[in-house]
Amino acid sequence: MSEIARDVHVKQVKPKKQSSLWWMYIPALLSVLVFMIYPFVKGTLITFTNWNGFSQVYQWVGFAQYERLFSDPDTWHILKNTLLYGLGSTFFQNVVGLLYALLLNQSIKTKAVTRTIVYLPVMISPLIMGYIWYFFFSYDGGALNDLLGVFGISPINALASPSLNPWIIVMINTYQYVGIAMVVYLAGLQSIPKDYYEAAQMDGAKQGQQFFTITLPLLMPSITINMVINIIGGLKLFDVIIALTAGGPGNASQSMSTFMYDLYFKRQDAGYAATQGIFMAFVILIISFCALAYFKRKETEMS
Amino acid sequence: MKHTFVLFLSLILLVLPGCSAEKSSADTAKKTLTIYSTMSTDSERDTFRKLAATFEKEHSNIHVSLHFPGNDYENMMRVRMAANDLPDLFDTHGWGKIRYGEYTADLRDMEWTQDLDPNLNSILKNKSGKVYAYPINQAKDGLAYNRNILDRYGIAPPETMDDFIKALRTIKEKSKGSIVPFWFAGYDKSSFAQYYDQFATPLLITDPAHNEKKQLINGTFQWSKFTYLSEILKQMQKEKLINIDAVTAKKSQLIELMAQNKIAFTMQGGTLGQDVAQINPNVKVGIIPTPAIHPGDDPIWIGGERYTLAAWKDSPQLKEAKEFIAFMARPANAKQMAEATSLPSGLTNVKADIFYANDYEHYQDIKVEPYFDRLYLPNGMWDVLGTVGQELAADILAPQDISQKLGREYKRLREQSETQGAENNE
Repeated sequence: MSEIARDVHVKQVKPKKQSSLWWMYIPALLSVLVFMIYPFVKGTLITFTNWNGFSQVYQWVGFAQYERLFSDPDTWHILKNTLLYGLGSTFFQNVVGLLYALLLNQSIKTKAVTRTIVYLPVMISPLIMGYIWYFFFSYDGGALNDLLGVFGISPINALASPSLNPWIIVMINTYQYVGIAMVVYLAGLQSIPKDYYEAAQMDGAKQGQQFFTITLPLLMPSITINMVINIIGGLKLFDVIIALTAGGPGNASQSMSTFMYDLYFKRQDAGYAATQGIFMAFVILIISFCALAYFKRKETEMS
Repeated sequence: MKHTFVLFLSLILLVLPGCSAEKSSADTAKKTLTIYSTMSTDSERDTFRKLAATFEKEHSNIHVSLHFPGNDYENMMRVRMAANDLPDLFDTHGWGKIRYGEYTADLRDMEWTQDLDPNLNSILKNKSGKVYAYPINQAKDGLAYNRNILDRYGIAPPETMDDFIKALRTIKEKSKGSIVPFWFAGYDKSSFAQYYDQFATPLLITDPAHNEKKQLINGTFQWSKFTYLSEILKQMQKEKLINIDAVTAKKSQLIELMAQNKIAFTMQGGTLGQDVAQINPNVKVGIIPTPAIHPGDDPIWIGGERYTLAAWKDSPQLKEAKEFIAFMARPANAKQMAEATSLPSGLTNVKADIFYANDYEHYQDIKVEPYFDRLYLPNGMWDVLGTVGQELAADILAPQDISQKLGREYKRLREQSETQGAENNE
């Protein structure tokens, strides 16, 4: 009895000891303050100036940069591109990723090899991926034109089209990251108990019915994760664009992040670059928040 | 509890390795001179390194630390300028006055300034006499061309825009499209910026009847007068006188294509000639000045600074930095650097034996005008010129729209640069 009492005593003290470890979060707090909050505040201040990015002097211009932002036609078409990169890639990555996962969840002979092949591009740096595809599409000696030549089609300069470029970038981004979506879905699929399918089969449910009433609802957590990760990744897409088109021709395939980079480093327009940055932060925040809220609700609804 | 705290502290210290002291105490007597340069090829860098080593031998108390960040140079310098923490000596690569001017020390008292090539006066000096940087060499840009191709088709190097276009047409016809008459590496916007910048001089500056200097400087320039350059470029594109992949081709393809006799003209100076000769010694690359646009006008070299050494005005080693510049300005050393970089020296008392020496001699009576944008446009226009060039070639904007857009940006950037520290041209 007394031993038990001592045990209880010890258990009561322990939480107290742990709570005195509060200072453990200081490093995290400091890094958030130093690397996120401070730059954000500083960046916001720059949006009210016409600073060129390197001079020691600048002028306060009030909300002029924001007025410029909203009246600049480039802002809107770049926002459109960014949404396309974010939502478009998300859509394709998830659809293709889910199909791959469904396929490779079956007992096929080359399952392991195929999984590896689909996942391989994830391991390549996006910058290198951009260069590889540049050589695929390039007019002079590119693989695409060699291929077209075999069929007697005259060569095309695929990367010169302002309307096509954003779609090519979506395609490459999808190709590169579909492996991650697949892996997440595979994990999700494997956590679904087989009993459900057996029970459904006994009730006479067809494949399609099984998919929509069992697989999809139980995959909802995986869908949420994939969607949010892909949306955020797509919205801040940078490397592939730089390597493939450098945002061109003109600004036709810029995303908000490449545009911001160009404004600061090439156009010496730091004030406007910061304004675009703040705008981008808000857009990403709103979209990912909405997406998260939507899918969380779906998750609870479906389970 | 104490142990955990110590453990925690040591972990934190592990994450901060950058805070350790940089120098050992034995070195404290030696001063370190930090130099950043944009030099890109091995031959240039090696010569520079060799000279720096000689300098170190002469000055046993100075250690020279050379850095060649390559493509990152400009971005790195922008960040360092913003932090007001520059290297002791750095390269101003064409922007001595309008970008770096606020941070450079005045070198007017140095001896070599007596021999500064007058062609560089407007770019490296201001009205009150401040000298911004020491020119390691000077740019003398024109059109690089493949001499074999021109000889084969019996074309004389063109001196006017009309002759130039005629030459391009002849090359296209006679080669049946197998040779690109005029090649752009437009993946990099600079390629188009270079076109506009280079041809703006004969269009708006050199011909007395079409001189717009005053209007450009006081801000009253009518940008519709600029439309001609976009129209000509569009015309060339329509006639397929420029490469089909003009907006996507990369500079890295140039040397190979030139060595394969697939390119007749391009806008690239520097070491192109030697680089091509290394791959295919039979290909002779020459250089001609930018053709004249208005009738009766002469062609023109476009010149200015290329590699320079500017001293940071707040450098604690300013005296040593100037010593290094004086060392580099000795005629023998200046000659070595000019030859390594294949460009004329920036000093009049130095005659360098360079790849294009014959061409420069052949056109020695041709005048040199500074880069158009450095003198007449506000800082930041270079990128705009490049962007609109791509937009023109990709059919996003028509020539008139381009002039309008340039006019808007010109106005905005003028207002911006008037309020900021970079020195103005007036």
